[in-house]
This record gives sequence, C-alpha cells and structure tokens, in this order.
Amino acid sequence: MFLTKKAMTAGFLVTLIITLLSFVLIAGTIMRFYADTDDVEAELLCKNSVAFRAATALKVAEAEAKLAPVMCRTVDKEISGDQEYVQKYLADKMVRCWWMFNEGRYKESVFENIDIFGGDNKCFTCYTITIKEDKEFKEENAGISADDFANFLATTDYEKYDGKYLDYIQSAGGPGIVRGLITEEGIKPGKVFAISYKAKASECTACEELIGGGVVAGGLTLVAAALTSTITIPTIAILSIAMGASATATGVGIGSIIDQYLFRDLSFDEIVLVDMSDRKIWEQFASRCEMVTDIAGK
Amino acid sequence: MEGFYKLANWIIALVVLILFLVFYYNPGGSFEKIKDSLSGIIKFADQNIGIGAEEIKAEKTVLSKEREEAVKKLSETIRKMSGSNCFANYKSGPGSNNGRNGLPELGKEGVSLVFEKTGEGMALVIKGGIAGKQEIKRELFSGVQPCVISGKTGEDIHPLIFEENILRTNLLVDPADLLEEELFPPSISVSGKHYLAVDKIEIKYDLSGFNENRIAYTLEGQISDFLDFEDGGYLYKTGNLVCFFPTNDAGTNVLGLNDDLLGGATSQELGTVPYLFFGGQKCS
Repeated sequence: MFLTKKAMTAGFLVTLIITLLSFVLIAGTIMRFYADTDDVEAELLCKNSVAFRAATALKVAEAEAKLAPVMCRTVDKEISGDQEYVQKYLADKMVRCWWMFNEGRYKESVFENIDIFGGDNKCFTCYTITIKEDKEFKEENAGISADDFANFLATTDYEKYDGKYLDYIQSAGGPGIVRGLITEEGIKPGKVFAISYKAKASECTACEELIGGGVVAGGLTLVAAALTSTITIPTIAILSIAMGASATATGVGIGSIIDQYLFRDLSFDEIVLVDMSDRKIWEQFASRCEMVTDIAGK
Repeated sequence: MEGFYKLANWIIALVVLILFLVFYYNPGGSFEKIKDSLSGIIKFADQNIGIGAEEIKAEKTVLSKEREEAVKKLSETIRKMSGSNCFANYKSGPGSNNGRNGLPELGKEGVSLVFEKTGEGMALVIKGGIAGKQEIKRELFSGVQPCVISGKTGEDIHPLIFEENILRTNLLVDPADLLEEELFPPSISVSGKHYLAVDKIEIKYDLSGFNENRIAYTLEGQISDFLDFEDGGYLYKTGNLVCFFPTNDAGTNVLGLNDDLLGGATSQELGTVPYLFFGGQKCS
C-alpha cells in the first residue's frame, strides 16, 4: 500500500496537533498540581525555589543577577482555639515564613532580579490566617494585645531552635526583625491576619555614578525629617495602632507611621504581622510594599 | 619529477610550521601575549565573577557583662521599690560621665533601654544588634508605670514643683541651725503636680556630639528631645509611678532638675536628692 504525498502531510499535521495539545494539557496539569499542592509541599517548594534562585545567582562585579523564579504560594488558613493556641499558631507561622525565605541570609533582596539599580520594598504574603470563634475565645472577649504578643515571641521557646521565637528570626540566619501592625482591639476572633516577608530594599550601587551625588535609597520615598519628632516609634516589636485620636493627634496619618515604622530601615529582612481586617492598615501597608504575586497568580 | 614535487611540498610545509612555531612560542611571541591576556581575564573573573548569592550571618545580640550587670541592678532596684515619695539608687559601678550618670556608657553599638507603659504595668525592652533595632531582652514590671521629673502640664513646671515641694521642704535639720547662706532664697508659692506620667522612656548613648547617655520620653505621640541625664543613678517613686530624672546644667527648669541636685551632689548638701536618700527617704 502506498501513501500519497497528501496523506503523508495530513498525517504529519495530525501528529503535530496531537503533540501540541498533549503538551498544553500536561503543562496545565503540572501547574495546577503545583498551585493546589499540599501546604507543606508549598512551603518546601517556596524554600527550595528561593535557595535555588540564590545558588544560581550570577555575580559580576557589584551586580547580582538572579534568574530562577521564586515559586511561593500564599497559604490561607482558618483557625480557632484559646488565646494560647492562637498565639502559638501565629508565632509558628511567622517563623515558618522566615524559614521559607531562608532566614534572611542573603545580602541582597531575594526578589530583585538584578540589584545594580536598587529596588523598592517588596513583600510576599506567606499566610493569611482567619481566626474563628472558639468556646474559650470569642469575639466579645478582649483580644491579645500587641504587648502580650510581643512578649510571647520574646519569651517563648521555639522547639526547633535553641532560643525563643524572636531569637530565631533575629539571628538564626541573617539579621531579621519582627514587626506588627495591629489595632488596639488586638488579635481576636473575627479578624484576619497576614504574615508577610519583607525583603530588605536594595541599595543602588550604580546610582551615584548615574545621578551624580545623592544616593537614592532603593526608590523609597523618605518621610520628611520633621515628622520624626512627632511620631511614636514603638520599641517593642509590635505596633498597636490607635485608630482613635492618638494616631492623628499630631496630624500624622497611618501611612506616615507605617513608613517610619516599617520602611525607614532598609538593611533588614522583616517578618510582618498585619491586621488585614482593618482595610486602612492593609491598604496603607500594601501600597508601600510591592506585593510579589504567588505562583497561583494571587 | 613527481617525487621532487612531493619532497618540495613537505619541505615548504615543514619550513612554514617551524616559522609558525618560532613566531608563536618565542619569548616575545604571540603565545606569551595570549597567555598574559588570558591570565588577566582569569584573574578578573576570579575577582569579579561568581555563582551564588552572597550571604550574611547574624550574630546573636547580647549585652556586655558590664551592661548586663547594670541592667540587672536597675531591674532589681525597680522591683524592690515600695512605698511612696521615696528614692532609690540603681548605680552598680562607676556609672558614666564621671559618675554623674547611673549607667555605664551604652555605647556606639546602639544599645538602648526603653521603659514602656503596658496594660499591666511597665515593660523594659533592651535593644541592640544591627542599627540598635533588634530586641535583646525584655522584662515586665507589674503594678508600676513610667514617669519623669520633667516637662509641664498647663502652667505647672514639674521639676520646679519637685524642687520646691520635695527637696526644699524636707530638710532634715532645723532651719534655725543653718547659716544664712545655707538657707534657700525665698521662693514663690507653688502648687501642683511634681511629676509627669509618660508612655515611654528611652535611654541611649548620644552620638550627635554629647557622647554620653541621654534620656527622652514620649507622651501621647509627642516625643521629647534626648535630654541631659546626670541622674547619679537615682529614681523616685510616687504612688505606682517610677520616675527618672532628666537634668539640666544651668539650673532647674522645664527640662529637668539642676544636675547639681543629683549626679553632681553629695549626701552632705542640703536640699539635694542624695541628701534625702542617705538621710532616710529610701524606698524600702
């Protein structure tokens, strides 16, 4: 039996179409698999992708180019329990987020592809945690205050590290800081909290040559110096933002407080706990820190 | 004939090869130049090209032994203060600023002590590490809150009221036994509060020219400058408030007490804090 030229061309086309369709189906399945993977595997994938990105970074003179993608996904959780359980859960997720980004051990921001021109503040939300009511912790109960939670982090042992939760973030890998933006209501049922990793903002190593003198601090808009004398910069790690008079008594808005509190120091990686239930706080935070999208596209 | 041509080809090829080798490998030849260029490129690559992101390592933030001792003594002193309208002293060693400040120099490393009002009392947070932003240690003091002998409320200038109401009216000798020059000049009648309850007190080393420990306080979002702090290690307690003493070189004013009434005074000098402290007005 002989095949005609036409039949052979048609056959080739069919084969090609089938191959292409198979590729698309398989690629889609793999991507869905990664997006829907178990939380632990998502955390491992994130950590490994960050490590791989760092390990394959090409350094030429002062520039560091990172080309491998960060494959991290925001994990959404709902929890309920007593105050002790809620505190421990949040603390565990904060240290886990730190672990996912390799404990802030890199000199340059993990999110910047090429560091020579500096970069803005970038954040990735590791977890969003919704706190539901429990018989021992209801909405009408007093919340866990910023002071109490800061004290918990500073004084509670972290079982996977020879030290407290705060010690792990501050000194296990690179230097880190814990920050929090919590209202006076505190941490309580009915609220949603985001745990985000904020990378250090990169210095612009080439800026002095390009701009000719002044160094632009990674594109960050610096708050006017005059404000520093009128803003209360909290010393304990967690800032409790008074939504009433005191936050605006001096005419300084929440945005400026957040600028001073979170974004003034460029030299640290940070783990930030933010009350997402308060739209104003979340919007101000998100507008000041470029949110890196996760691999599920969120 | 054919053999001749073959031989000639071989000879020509050999001569060209020899000339090439001589040209290339002689000491000043191209081979050496290429080698030099390559070694330059390799050296540049060694110094400037690498694979893998540069890493940094944090160090666990700790206090020096001297500062650890000083903070321990300060904490113990605060915990032991009971009673009201009384004094305590937290100085454990020579202090700093020629002994006029109760703490050792907190230093350029950015160590700071912060007392902050909390729901239950007062937290002491010791900060240090890189840029002084990391937390080294914290303690909670239940039932007490921070205050300063500084500032004013309305027309009440607290350090002036303190000097008049507390220091001058607590002489432990009969004024009739004093020489004329030892009597205080007549003072205006004052009333009002002699202290200021605050939200936060921060003590840290000043690097802007003073090069000494200084103190600032915060109330309702307003933060003071970092003030002179020649307190001699003295604290004052009134009610549930533990008060620190900002001072002023040129006499008592809204900033604080005259430092000659504190860090610069001896127990023999009438109307000073050391005089009252050693004279029996100690918090038990």
